[in-house]
Amino acid sequence: MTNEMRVLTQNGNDGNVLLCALCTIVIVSFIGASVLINCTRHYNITAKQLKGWKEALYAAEAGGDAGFDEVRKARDPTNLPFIVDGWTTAPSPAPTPGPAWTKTISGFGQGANLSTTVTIDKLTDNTGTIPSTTPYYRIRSVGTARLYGLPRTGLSDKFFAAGPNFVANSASRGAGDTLLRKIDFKYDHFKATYGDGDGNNLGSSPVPYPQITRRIELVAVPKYYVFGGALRVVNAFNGPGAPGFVDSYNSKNPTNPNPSSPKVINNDIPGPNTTSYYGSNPSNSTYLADAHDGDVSVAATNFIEGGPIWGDVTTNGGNVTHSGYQISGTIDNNVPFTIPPLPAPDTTGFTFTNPGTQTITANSTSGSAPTGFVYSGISGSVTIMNGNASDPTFPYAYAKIVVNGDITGKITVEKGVTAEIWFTGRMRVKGDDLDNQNVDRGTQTANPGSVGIPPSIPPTLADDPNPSRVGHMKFFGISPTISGTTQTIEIDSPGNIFATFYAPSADISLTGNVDVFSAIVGRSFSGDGNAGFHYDKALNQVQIGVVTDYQIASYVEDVR
Amino acid sequence: MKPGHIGRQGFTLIEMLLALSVGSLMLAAIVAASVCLQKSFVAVDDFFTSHLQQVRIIDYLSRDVKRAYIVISSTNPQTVTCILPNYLTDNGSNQPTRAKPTLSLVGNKIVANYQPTTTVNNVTLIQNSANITCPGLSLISTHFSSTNVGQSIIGTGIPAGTTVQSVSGCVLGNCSQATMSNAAYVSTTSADVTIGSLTNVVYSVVNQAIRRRENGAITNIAASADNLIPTTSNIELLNTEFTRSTVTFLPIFAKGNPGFYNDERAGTMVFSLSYLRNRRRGDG
Repeated sequence: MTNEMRVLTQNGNDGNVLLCALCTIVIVSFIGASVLINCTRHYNITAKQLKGWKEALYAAEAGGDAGFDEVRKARDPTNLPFIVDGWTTAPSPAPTPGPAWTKTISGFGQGANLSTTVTIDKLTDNTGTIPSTTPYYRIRSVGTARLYGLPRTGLSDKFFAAGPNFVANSASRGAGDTLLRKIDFKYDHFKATYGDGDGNNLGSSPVPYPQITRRIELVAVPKYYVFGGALRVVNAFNGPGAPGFVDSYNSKNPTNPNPSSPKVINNDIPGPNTTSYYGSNPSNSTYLADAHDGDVSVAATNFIEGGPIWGDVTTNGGNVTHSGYQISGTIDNNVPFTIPPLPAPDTTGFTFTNPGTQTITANSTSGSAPTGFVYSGISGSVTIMNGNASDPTFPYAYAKIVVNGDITGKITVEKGVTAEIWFTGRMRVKGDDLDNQNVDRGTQTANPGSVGIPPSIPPTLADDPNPSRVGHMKFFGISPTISGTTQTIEIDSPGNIFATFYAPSADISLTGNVDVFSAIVGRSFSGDGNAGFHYDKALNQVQIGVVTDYQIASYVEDVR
Repeated sequence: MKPGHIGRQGFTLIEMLLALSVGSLMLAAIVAASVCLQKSFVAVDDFFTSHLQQVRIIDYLSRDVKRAYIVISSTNPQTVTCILPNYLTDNGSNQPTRAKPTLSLVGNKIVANYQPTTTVNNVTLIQNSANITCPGLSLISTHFSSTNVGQSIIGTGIPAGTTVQSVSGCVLGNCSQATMSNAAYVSTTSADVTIGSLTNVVYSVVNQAIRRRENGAITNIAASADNLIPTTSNIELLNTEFTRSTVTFLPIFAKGNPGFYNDERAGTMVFSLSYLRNRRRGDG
């Protein structure tokens, strides 16, 4: 038996396996690390930077909404804007030309990471688009969102171009996300580069934490009332009389058979001298499209109908139905609305006129700056002359008369004159007393000349900017300042009426056999007898000079 | 005691071949796994990168659409053209300042302008014609003038980027006709056009990238998201307008039947719906 000792020796080649395993682990670790870094980068961008970028806009728009909401208060004299709720006067230098107000809202959003600062400056228009006495507002809002996550991950580092300022173009600012998102990691790039946005107060402004800011600018302009329907009353409606009706026409419609002098003669028989487009003659399809817009709106339940209404009807809680009424259009009994009181206009620069003065002359060619007159009352006869009648290019004029009392006399508006008549007292006249000598779609024609006299052709023939005859004579009832006082407007026959009435605090009544070409806003309306009410649809595009609200006319994002 | 033959024992040929085979297989498996892992990593990285670029394109596009006066989209070629107000004034220092808004009337609406613009009402356009006419001698406020030459002109039926080349029919500075740099693509009457200094932004697909040009200058926003499907809806009844856009790309791991590519591409779609908050709404 052989007894051999077995000697174990170490095999030097066994280390290769370990090395291979380590190398594999290293390679896999590198791959894993790359994946993790990549995932982190994508996570940061998609979850953090995108979130911040979008939330910054939400914050900016929230600020813009807060600013716009404050601007809208400007129409309510009992709730003046910019004096409470955190609004303060903007520090000097205020945005030109000022004045300006600012407000900061902070600490909202997840983890209170959002804030917004709003600045509003009050501007006036000098182009004649709106009266210089009516402001418009520029609302600038900055929304800031805190940026969470690791800084600079996945972004270009080309923030500094030359000198201390950031530069916005892609060549120096980088591309892609860097150019779009404009994240501030240590310094506010906007303040450093653009200061307040207009190049003022440049300087490095460290940020407490990485952030994204977005800036928007809104422009809020006045919204003027236009007559969108025949009658709009707050309190009660009772009309028209059983023989009468409410309908519509369109003075801009070139198929109007007799635009210069609409006559109400036997509406049921179309003819060259009849206004056959009324709703009383629905079989005449030529004018049907314009005939059924005599809309009536009542902000209460009080609605009594006599004759047919060719249009839509709304009430606030009424029980109007098609079966019980003669209404051609839609009916909605759930439409509330309010009409703010009408304050007295500014009469600075107006001519104070002797009550006995019978003739005044309008010379202004701007509807936003009409020739102004002040009367203490009109009981006699007043004629508003056209001072531009002989102008070869623009033979039209605008007048604004403020009557600090009653109107019981006759008012004549010459052809080419657009007159606003504001009054504080009551109005009691006959249809014949309101003499509107204008025509629908007034057009100036060239003088053809005559024997021995060469033709005089104006260089620019001007159509009347106001196509509606009715729109040339506009009455405004100034709301009484004594609580509980009601204004009255009473119009009796004979004579047809071509005028509009905007009197939110007035009870308006039409009696007798009058035809009214008009649009009315009032506290209440009643019409009896054979009173036909004809709404001119062209009034829907004619501003009557009363600001009822503000609206956003422009939205811009400052992408610097 | 017999000395052992430790360290002198060799492998047999069979053992050697077997070991080599097993080793080669293991090595091949490791290499294959590494390559696959690397390819997968590259594919995923490319997918994520393309996705980020998609999102960035959509964000750029939405931002521009929201502040545009007019947006015109075309599916062939795939382009989106936005006409923006010139909000910033270039003062030559590469640090532009803000312009002050002024007001004007378009139809019966008050609009804000950031650079001087004029609106001409009641113009007539004829399809495929570069001539545009207005009743400049009968309406006092609507006419062309010699100052319009060289300025941008925008309006329904006018291709984006169009400028006024010349004016004619002038009486005392009021001109009734203008010639545009591009022909109108629809016929219309009683339209409103705006003339002035405006900004054009055009998105288009070039090779495998979506390109953004602002007044002709390229903004590099994406390199691989390669398909833009724009649609602009202008619903007059609602007095509104919006743009729907989708951006897709073809993942690099898509293989096989080309029909499969469409499914792969569709799976990457990013969609946006943006309303024109700045749209002009003249209703005169």
